[in-house]
Amino acid sequence: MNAAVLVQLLVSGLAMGFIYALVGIEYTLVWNSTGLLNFSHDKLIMLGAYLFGGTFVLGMGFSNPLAIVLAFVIMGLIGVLIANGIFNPLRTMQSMIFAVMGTMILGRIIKEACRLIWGPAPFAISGWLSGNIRIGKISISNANIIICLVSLLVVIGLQLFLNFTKTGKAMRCVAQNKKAAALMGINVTQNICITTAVSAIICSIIGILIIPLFNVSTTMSNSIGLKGFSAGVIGGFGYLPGAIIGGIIIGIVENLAVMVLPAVYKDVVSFVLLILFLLVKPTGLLGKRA
Amino acid sequence: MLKIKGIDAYYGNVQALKNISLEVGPQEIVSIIGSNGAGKTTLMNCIMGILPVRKGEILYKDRDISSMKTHLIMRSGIVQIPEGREIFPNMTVLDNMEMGSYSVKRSKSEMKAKIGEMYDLFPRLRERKSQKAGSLSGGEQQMLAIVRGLMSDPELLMCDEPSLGLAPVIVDEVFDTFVRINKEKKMPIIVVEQNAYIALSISSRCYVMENGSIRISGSSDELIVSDAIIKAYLGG
Repeated sequence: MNAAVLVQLLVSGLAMGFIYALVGIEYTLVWNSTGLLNFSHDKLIMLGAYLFGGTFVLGMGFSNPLAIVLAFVIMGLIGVLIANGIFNPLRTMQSMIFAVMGTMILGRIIKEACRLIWGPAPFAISGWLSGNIRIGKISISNANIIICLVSLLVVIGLQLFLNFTKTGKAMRCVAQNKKAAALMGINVTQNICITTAVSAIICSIIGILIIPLFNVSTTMSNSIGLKGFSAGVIGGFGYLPGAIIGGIIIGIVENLAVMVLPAVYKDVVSFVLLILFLLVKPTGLLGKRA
Repeated sequence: MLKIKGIDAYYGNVQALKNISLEVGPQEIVSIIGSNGAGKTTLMNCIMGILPVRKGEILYKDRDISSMKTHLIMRSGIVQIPEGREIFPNMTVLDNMEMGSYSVKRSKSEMKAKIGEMYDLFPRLRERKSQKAGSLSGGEQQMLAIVRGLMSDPELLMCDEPSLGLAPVIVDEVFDTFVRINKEKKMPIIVVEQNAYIALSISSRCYVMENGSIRISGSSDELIVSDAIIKAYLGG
């Protein structure tokens, strides 16, 4: 095992870690805003990839930047629909099981709809985030570098949005205390729509970023959906920096585990970590509340 | 200004308010007193649209607001400072104050002037401005809650249990501020209190609630010397 391999594994681990972190952030946003777990979001990630790749790039032949913008717009609208159709009507019901079931079924619907619209065969988008950079013996794929950079931008942008804009601050208010937020004149229902739209757009960013790693298929986001959830738990659920740290830890640890374990056990590592944290430190690394 | 006509409200099947009627005129301080569970906070929540009203109407400036959404009621000029303060603990004092004026469009200089005006009301908040609101003492949190409520220049202020859990010195400071706001801004104020004596002493009129309905109402000067009130609420 030489240093070059180690660096390559670290970089690809970091890239995956950022993806898990984004998924964790997306869980956290919806959880804080609505008090609900959105179990359909891995399907939203897939839908974002299908919209971008299947419809706008391959179907309509748009340029990549235009396709990205269009995918964001449509996913944002879908986010508003989900907020109005599922989160807002179901979040005040007696048990949160109703809304969780709602999001799970929504995930099924999205998956089957994708299969009907775009067909069951996975496809790749040639030329999208392809290529490698070579530094001496180390070879790093462009996709990994772009994933890291874009994720960092999203994380920084989101922090700026939540801390310095009126709408972002209102989102934090709604997350902390819905009654007090309404008493400040904040339209809580509308605010949840905005949060869900933002989270759906983050889903499409994730979906578009992981196309070079997994191609576009109905199962492309299954494992990262669950690992993103683990990222949230490991970092401290409901706390954005926690989701980021948790994601990066999972990404790097599972990639380095390949050096000592057979590669088929890669996926096991993150779930073992999840269970360990639930047993030993259920509040997560940075979590404060029990 | 505010006219409540015979409202009923329920938690599930349990009736919490029975045929409540109440009136608040311009520029007056009205207090609502009563023991724990009498329905005072429920009444506040009904006015703000947090709890639906089943019967009766709530007229604010001659408009029925009983089926309006909370944020729209707030935007029409009624501000409630909720029981238990309910500040945003993970935000700074300054951010909390800015959120209080979420419904108002202000330029940077107007906002600065408004915040300065609030610091004059409770100078202690100026020292705490960049501290997380959750780290403040109970009294400071109550001051912040009041200031946050005032940030939107309300036309009617409702304060729910402002004395709850506060040291007597701070209670006096808080109630002096209410009197001052009422005088300077001609702002009508509803004070809901378990501490009957202090509520009666600053208000012009008072409603006494018991088991979800209004038992007694009248001028505070008369109630503060009436035997029934002294026996039940003033420890006589």
